[in-house]
Amino acid sequence: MKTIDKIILYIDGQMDPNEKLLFEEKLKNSAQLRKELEKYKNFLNELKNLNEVKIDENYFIRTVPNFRETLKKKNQSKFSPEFALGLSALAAVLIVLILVINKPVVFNKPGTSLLTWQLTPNELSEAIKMYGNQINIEYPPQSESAHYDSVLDTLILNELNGTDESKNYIQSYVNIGLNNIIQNMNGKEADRIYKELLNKRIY
Amino acid sequence: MIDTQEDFELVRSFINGNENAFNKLVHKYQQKIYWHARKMTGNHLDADEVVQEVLLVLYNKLKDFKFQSSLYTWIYKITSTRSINQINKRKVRRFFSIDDNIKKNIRSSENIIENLETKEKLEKLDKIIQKLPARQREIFLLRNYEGLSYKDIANITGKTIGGLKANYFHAMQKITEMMKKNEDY
Repeated sequence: MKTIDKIILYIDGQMDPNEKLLFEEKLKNSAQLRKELEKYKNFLNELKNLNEVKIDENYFIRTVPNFRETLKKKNQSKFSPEFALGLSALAAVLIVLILVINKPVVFNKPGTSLLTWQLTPNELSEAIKMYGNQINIEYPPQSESAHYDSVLDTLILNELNGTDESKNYIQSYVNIGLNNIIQNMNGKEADRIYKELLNKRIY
Repeated sequence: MIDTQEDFELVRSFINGNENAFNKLVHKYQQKIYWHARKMTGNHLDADEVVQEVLLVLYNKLKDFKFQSSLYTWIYKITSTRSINQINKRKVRRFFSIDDNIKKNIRSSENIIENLETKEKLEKLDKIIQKLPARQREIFLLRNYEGLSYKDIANITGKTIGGLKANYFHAMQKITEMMKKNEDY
């Protein structure tokens, strides 16, 4: 071990009693060691003196007000953990709801069957616009026919820009029988209705 | 000598809602916190940030204080940890070269130092201790400048006394090596 290492241990009180006795014995007999020890002590004192520095006292006067200001800002902007958790949960629920509500309608590919009675009027309208005649419309089972009728009624009314009143009017004619009406209609009337229908963009 | 009982009373008073008790604790320890952080980080700007962080931790965590160890060792523990975090943050900033403005701020912030002699002393001290690794620096400062026992330092750093002695020894070896190379130390 180097002399300086022994000095460090001696000054720091890290030597065991035997080591300490031996070192002190050497100290008595060696002027060089005493000089080294003195040099090290001076160095330590110098280091300690470097610690005696003063800075502007105003800095410490401002510590508490600065801290209170920081604390105020933190409290203003801070969410409590419970609030943050609640907010996250609410956001998650909203995202799920938005995804469910805006779930894109996956229409059957052109040429395959479209289960029209499972769609809303808007979805059906969109499907017809997209695929037109390329899709086969399957007729609904008996249990779904009422819903299917109402969907188609709504679609037709939307196309005709009709109201509930006109819906009833149409339905009453449907009940009389479309074939009877057509049979009793002359060519001029039929021509006028055909033109009207063209204007209403029925296809 | 630090009055532990007085500290405990202030802590209890603060826990019971007396904000002024916290202010008293700040007045009592702010210089110790600042200087330990200042020597650890090597500049005023980082030390100032550490001081505010330490006070914030104290404010929020004093209610969990166990009254089993002295308050000042707890404060040193927080200050040391935050200072080392700050040193690491600075290293990252330097790595990504976003430290240029910070350097300017550090320079301009040094005008809180009262006179030239103090400034020179601090520069000399920084020159020596900033060359030590952060953990060795921490032990060297607590042992040399705060005069803490190895037992207290072990409480602060969570290291064994044997390990601390070895660390201190290595720190002193490095410092004396520097001293030899530059006799003006």
